[in-house]
Order: sequence, then C-alpha cells, then structure tokens
Amino acid sequence: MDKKDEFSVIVKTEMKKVFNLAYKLCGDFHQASDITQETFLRAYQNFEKFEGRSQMFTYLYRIACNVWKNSLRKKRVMSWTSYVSGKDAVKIDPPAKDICPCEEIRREDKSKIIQKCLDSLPPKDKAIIVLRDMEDRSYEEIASMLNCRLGTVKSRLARARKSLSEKIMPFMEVMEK
Amino acid sequence: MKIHGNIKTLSLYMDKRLDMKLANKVEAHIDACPDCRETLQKMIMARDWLSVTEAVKPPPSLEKEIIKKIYSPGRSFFPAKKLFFALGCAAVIFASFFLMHKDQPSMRLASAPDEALTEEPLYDAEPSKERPARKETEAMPAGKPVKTDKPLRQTAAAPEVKAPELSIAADDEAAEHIALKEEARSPLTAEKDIKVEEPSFARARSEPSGQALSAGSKYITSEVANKESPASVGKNIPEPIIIKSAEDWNKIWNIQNSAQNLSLALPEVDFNQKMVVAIPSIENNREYFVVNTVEEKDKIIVQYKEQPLQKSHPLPYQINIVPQKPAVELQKID
Repeated sequence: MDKKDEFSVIVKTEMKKVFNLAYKLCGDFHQASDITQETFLRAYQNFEKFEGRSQMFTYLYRIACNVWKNSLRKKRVMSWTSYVSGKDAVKIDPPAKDICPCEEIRREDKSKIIQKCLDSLPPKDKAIIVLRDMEDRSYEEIASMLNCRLGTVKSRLARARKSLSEKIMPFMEVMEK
Repeated sequence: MKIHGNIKTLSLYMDKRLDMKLANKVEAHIDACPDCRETLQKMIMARDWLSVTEAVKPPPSLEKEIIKKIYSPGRSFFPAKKLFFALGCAAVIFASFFLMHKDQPSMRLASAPDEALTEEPLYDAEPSKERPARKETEAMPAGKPVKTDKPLRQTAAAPEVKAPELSIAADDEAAEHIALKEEARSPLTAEKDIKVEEPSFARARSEPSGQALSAGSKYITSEVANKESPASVGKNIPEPIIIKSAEDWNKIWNIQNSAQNLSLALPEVDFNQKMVVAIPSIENNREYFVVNTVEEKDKIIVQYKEQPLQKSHPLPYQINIVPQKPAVELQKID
C-alpha cells in the first residue's frame, strides 16, 4: 500500500470527526468543509513526518485547530475595519426581561444558541471547551493538540466554562420553564 | 489550598481530576457554600448542554474532493513554490541592501547622522537639566564611542586662521592651565611650539563682546545671550582651543585621557573637512559646559553655560568635532 492509498483510508475513517470538530469551531458548514479539506491536505503533505507517537486523530485535530486559527486570522485581516468598529463582534445578550425569550428560542434552536455562545468566547477558550466538553478529549490530548501546557489547559478550561455558563444560563433557564 | 471561588478547582472537580483528599474537601465546601455550589451547578449544566449537541454530517462530496486534491499533481509543487518565493524575497532584500551600501564601505563612520551620534557623550561633561536640543553638530566617529552617564557637551569650531597671529604668548593663564593638565611637557604648553607649528592648534583669548581676538584672527567670541548683564561682560569667558591637525588632536586627546587615567583610542577626524574645538572645563574659578553648537554659513556658534567652580569636573576639556568654518562665536546661555 503506497502513501496515497494509506492516506485515503485515513481520510475515510477520520473525516467525519475532523469535519465535526471544524463545524463546532467555526459554526459554518461551508467553512467547516474548507477547514477539513485543508487539514487533510496539510496532513498529507507532512505525512512522512508523522511518527505515530500520538494517535492519528490527535494529529489531525491539531492541524484542524491550526487551520481554524489561521482562518480566523485571515478573516480578521480582511475585515479589520469592521472588526475595529465592532460590527463583527459577536455579542451575546441575555434575553431581555420584558421580552419573552421563548421567541428567540423558537427562532433559533438549541444548537444555534450553543454555537452563538461559543462564538462569543475567545478562540483559545472556544477551542478548549469544544475539545473537552463536546469532543470529550482528555486534558493531555488537548494539551498536545493545542500545543500548550497541561496547567494552561486546566486554567483556560475553567475560565471558559465559567464564562460560557454565564452566557448560556439565561437560555437554559427559559428552556427549563 | 483555597477552594472558595476557585474556578479551576471546581472545573477539575467536575472532571474528577482532583485527588481523593482534595475532592473530599471540595465536596465539603460545596455543601457548605451556596455560591460555589451554584457556580458548579451552572458549569455542569452548561457542559451537559454542550455534550448533547448532535453530530453534523459532512457533505457527501467532501471525501472525494479531498482525495482528488491529494491526487492532483499541482498540489505537490506547492512547497517548492513557497521555497522559491522565500528565496526570491531573500535575494531581493540582499540585493537592495548591497546596492544601498555598496558605496559606503565605512558606513558608520562616513554617514553617521549628526544627531544620532552626537547624542553619545564623547567626553565628560557637566550635567545640565535644561539643555536644548542639539543640532547641527558634527559627531565623533561612531566606531569609537566613549560612554559616560553624563550628558554631552558640544563645541563647534572653525579655524582657517593661522596660529602665529594669535596672541597666545600673552596668554599666561591659559598656558599654565594646559601645563597643569599635561605633566609631560607638551607643545601645547609652549608658546614656541605653538607658534612654530603653523596654524593648526590655535588658542584664542576670548574677549567680551564679539571683538576679534587679534588682527589676523577670525575667531570671534561674544556673549550674546547675556548682553543685558554688564557684570558678566568681560569676565569668565572660556577660551576655545581650535585643533586642525592630527598631531595636535593626539596631544589634547592624551591630556584628556591622562586626566582620568584612561587609554581610550583616538577618534578619527578628517581634518580636511572638520576641526576640533576644545573648551576648558574650568577656568577663572568658573566651570563651563557647552550645551549646543549651531552651524551657520560662515561660523560655528558655541552656546555654553557657566557656573561657579564646584571641583567636580574630572576632565580638562570639552571636546567636539565640528565642520570647518572660518569663525567661531561663543554664546553664553543663562
């Protein structure tokens, strides 16, 4: 089995996971497709460097996170004017008390609310919470994927969780009612 | 370990990443502390919400597209393109740098900007808090800076004049001053030497209000800024020493070095275009320090300050390298 055939098998087995991670990170179907493609292409280009010390999905997740971060950077550069003026900033306002939040919940389903809340987090916090609480990766894997220390993962995850819980709680309360 | 309000500990507790002992402590604290309990509950609820999100199906054509791109031959050239681009950029940068500095072999020495280099104190100077911005001053060669913490004094000089015509012989005080600084007998202290040695090393006796020193001298000293105080007129004006030859430059540099037991290398001066002006730091029980030099069309103006002698000055002269001009003017600044 040559390199291409070997890698084709990897694409088949890991593509769904990578795509889901990309979708959770970026929240956009088409962008997730692009990130997935770019991830596998980069993985293929550097396939010879992969020594098998970590699992393949860890390797792919790390690339996917980097591709996503790069895409954010490009996006920021391209729309820096609107970014500076705050037009593109994602703001999550809790449901106003005088307006029934049920309306909003009706309009947007649960996953969209989650995505919106996730988008409001800083990219690093978002990545860590996606990997831990949505992808159920271990602390060690996350540290490897994001190329940071274990202690950083712990503290950043705690901060992200608190921040996300504060943002998501008003919607949850409404759902419970 | 503080547990109350410690989000990190609560987060680790959620993930069962704490050891048994600490986990028990956290559990006990949560039972007792409603704030921490609420925080933990919120975090757990948020996590539960996140964990139930449904997986998204990738588009069916995605796998084919990925395989297609991997198999496409154009892609394999991509790293080579990047490499060529990087090499090209490097070549352009190198070429432009080479072209820019091709004609400047001694770039730092030849083209050192005046202001930048004159900021380096070359010689000992009096501290001055109110110094104006120094401009138009030629600097020492960049290759031989002498660093001190004290600010720079600058002197400008300009002699096209011949020394023998100056009234150096009458200047006993000045000669004595130099003799004190230079233990070994130097041509600087000797009237004969100076007279014989043609024009290059000239001492000018300063006179009050802008008068010429002697008939042949083009050195003019004056107190412009202090004209309104008659008491100062005619008193306490430093005597500039103008140096126009490498030999004399070497001598005064040795004096300067020996005063501090230093052996600093002699800075290079192109005497075809420049000259050296040395202002005595102490004279007539006064201390002088140059605060600025201004280069004009046909003269150099040396602005200086004076103060009563405080016996704190370690160096005999304040030396500055300036462009050659036919005249030098001293201006006292209050």
